Amino acid sequence: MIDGQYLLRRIGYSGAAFFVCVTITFFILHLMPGDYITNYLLSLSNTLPKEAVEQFYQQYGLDRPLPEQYMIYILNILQGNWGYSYQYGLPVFPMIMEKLSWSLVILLPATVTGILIGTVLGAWSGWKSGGKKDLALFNIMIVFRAIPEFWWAIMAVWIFAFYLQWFPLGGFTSISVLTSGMDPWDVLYHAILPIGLMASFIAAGNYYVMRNSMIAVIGEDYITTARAKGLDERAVLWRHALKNALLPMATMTTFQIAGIIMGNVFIETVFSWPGIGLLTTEALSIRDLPLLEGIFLLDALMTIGAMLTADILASYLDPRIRMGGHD
Amino acid sequence: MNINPGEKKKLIIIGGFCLLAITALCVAAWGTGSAMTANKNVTGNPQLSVTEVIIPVSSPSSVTYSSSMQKGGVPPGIYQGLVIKDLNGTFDPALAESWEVSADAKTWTFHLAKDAFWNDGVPFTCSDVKFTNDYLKANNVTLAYVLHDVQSVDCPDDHTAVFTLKTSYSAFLDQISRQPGITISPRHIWQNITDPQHYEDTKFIGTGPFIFDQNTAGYTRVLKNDAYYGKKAQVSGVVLKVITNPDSQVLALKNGEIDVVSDISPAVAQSLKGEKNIALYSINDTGAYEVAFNLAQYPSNIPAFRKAMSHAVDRNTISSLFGTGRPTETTFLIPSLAGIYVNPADVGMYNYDLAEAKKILSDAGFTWDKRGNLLGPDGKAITLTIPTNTMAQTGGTDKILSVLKNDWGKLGISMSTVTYDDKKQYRKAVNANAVFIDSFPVTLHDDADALSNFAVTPLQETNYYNYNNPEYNALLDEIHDTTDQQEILKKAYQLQDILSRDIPTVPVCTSDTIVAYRSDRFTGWDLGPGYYSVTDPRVLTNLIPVR
Repeated sequence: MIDGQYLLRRIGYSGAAFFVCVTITFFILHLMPGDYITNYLLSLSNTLPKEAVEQFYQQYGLDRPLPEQYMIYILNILQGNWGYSYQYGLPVFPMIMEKLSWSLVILLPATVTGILIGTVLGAWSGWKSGGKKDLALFNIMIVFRAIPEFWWAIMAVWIFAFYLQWFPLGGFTSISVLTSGMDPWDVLYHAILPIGLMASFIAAGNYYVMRNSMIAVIGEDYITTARAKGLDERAVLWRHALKNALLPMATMTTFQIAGIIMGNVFIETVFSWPGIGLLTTEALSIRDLPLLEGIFLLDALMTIGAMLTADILASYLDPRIRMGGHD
Repeated sequence: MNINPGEKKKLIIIGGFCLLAITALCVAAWGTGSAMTANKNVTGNPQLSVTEVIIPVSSPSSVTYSSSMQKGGVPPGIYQGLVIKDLNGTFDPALAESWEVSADAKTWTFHLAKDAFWNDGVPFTCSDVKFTNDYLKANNVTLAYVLHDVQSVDCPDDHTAVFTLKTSYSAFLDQISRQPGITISPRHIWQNITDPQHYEDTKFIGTGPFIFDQNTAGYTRVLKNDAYYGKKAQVSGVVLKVITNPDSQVLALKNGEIDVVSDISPAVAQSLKGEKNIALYSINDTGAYEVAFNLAQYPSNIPAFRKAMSHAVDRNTISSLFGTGRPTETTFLIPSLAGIYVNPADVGMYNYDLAEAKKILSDAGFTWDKRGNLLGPDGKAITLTIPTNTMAQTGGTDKILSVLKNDWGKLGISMSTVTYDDKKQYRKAVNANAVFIDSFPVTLHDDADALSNFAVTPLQETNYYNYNNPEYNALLDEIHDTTDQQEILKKAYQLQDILSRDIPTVPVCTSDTIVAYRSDRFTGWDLGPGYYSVTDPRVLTNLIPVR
């Protein structure tokens, strides 16, 4: 159960944590070596026109003291103004939202499917721990996870897209989008391979957690008691072991869902899926500060929100957990 | 099994949903896959004209455009400048049909194309040229720095533009046509836009051989401009497709999904040889490398050290490691691009000869200790830290370093490297160390004006090499002040003589760009040196559909 006053306090603390995150992000990004305009101009010419650099600093307020820039940034954030990208000259918020929406098309189903499969397999494996089937599955998962994600992705493209030609090589639509507009089925067709691959990886990660959690739970006294009461094995599994073993998964799941916001650079690169992961990498390499600030702002918001949700969810799932009210 | 009826019901529902979802995914994959296969034409591309060329781009940002006034770029072939530099180092007409320059190189008169129109039908006139100059400067647009030397633009009539410069500048055409250069923007559109930094263009009205069609879902399409006044494209359009993974680009080329892949490695090129319907060509000398000295740091401030080291660079071995390109035994300019501007007297002066290098060092007072370490004239061991830049072509830099470490080690020089991922930090490191290795675009080494990289001028207070020779600076000023080609050539030779004596840098080798294309789709990709981008409008207008 969660106490009302505690919940309010918790929301307040989350707000403060968000503010601290935003502040740290702002200063770290601004103190990072290198800047956009220098990199841009040096890529065009060996000689750096001072006038152009000074003009750029002036335009974007970068000639002002850092504390003043920070105050302006915070005021803008409070007014919902996330600024404009240096590189594109476009407003940051719609850019992030567009890329995020494309990331979600693959990451949301992959995460949900991966969590479900990983949880089910992990629970089953943990329940059968020590058996031949458990060991076989466990070793398969170890091999699967031991090989880097990008290698699997490249192999998947090579086999399923190039040789078998079951799926496209990449991108999120076929070229027919230019003549007949976007077709949701076409997007789905492009998304299946990256979703399948990502779901497998997420499933393998969740499998370990769930398996270990299940192994820990089946050694508990209440499981022995349940068996002593004469309940059959499946009833013990479903009514007692599974519910308790799922508790750590609830917290992990909320964080995995929050993690979606940062996208997946490997998958997005290999499958040419222009999501938030690629946008972040590019923004970082060219020092597009407004864009980076916007992405990290959203990430902080999602992570802190996920932590709050995990707290509330844990107290809801396990009545023994009481939050607040101890005073 | 002891499951209560409620739980059983839930399990059945969940299971049913999962099965349904999996079935839907499979049906979708099969159905769409079949549809895609059925719709594919001979090009392997569904529902697209067979005369549209498809080119991959490796970054989604490459097809994210804002406007012609912005740094983010615009789709290819839409906007034009006044002139365009050709592969012989001279200039082809673009929006200017012809031009002349005053004897003092301060007044440049451009005679503009009379039958040029903006894509929306508005005639192109001098007012657009004047507007572009005035607007960029009035609104502090970053690209305005390219026109820094321009005092004013006047329009005596609709088809004549007169640029008056602040000082003489014989290389003005190079300045406005070399990347980033200046493209002319339509006055009738931009005159009402008060915030160019944040304006998002959706129409991209230009004057070029292509017209913007659409930018959607990872694709950008431009179509042939039938009303174009110059050489019209023979392809009906160009589609840029985002494929971020280089390996996938090659697979897409093999599958026939795209028509060309640029900048492939020699190993990949080798694997593509013999592939049906795939042809390869190499664009020579698109990149170049140098072992450069910072004359403000010890021991590079000792002329004999620089001379000795110029004999200790094994260009042939380095070049062979690259797999493409060739050794460059000039003082600075790249022969294939700079042509007649390369002074033949200065070619091959610094042959690879470690014994000669040792002798020069010895004659200049350098000594060796018992362990063979090189000691400077002051008796201190010579150790070098060489900064490299990850944003440059690091692969090449690593190859040079591996050869230098071996050869310079034989001379008793201890070397270490520090890599920087930021250009500003790298620049600082270059300034703090005696030797650095750099790669450079060949457009900075293709004519007499490129020799200004070693100059110190009121605008350019220093250079990478901290090289400041008043005689050199004065000669370069004289080049800027004259438009007499013979005079420019003579002075360019003198400048190279000075460089061969002072040795601020040792050019090492060039590298090539290898391009693979579908020979069953289009021909005309290879235009020779100087055209190193497959999206260059001159390349695109040169393409001819095979069928």
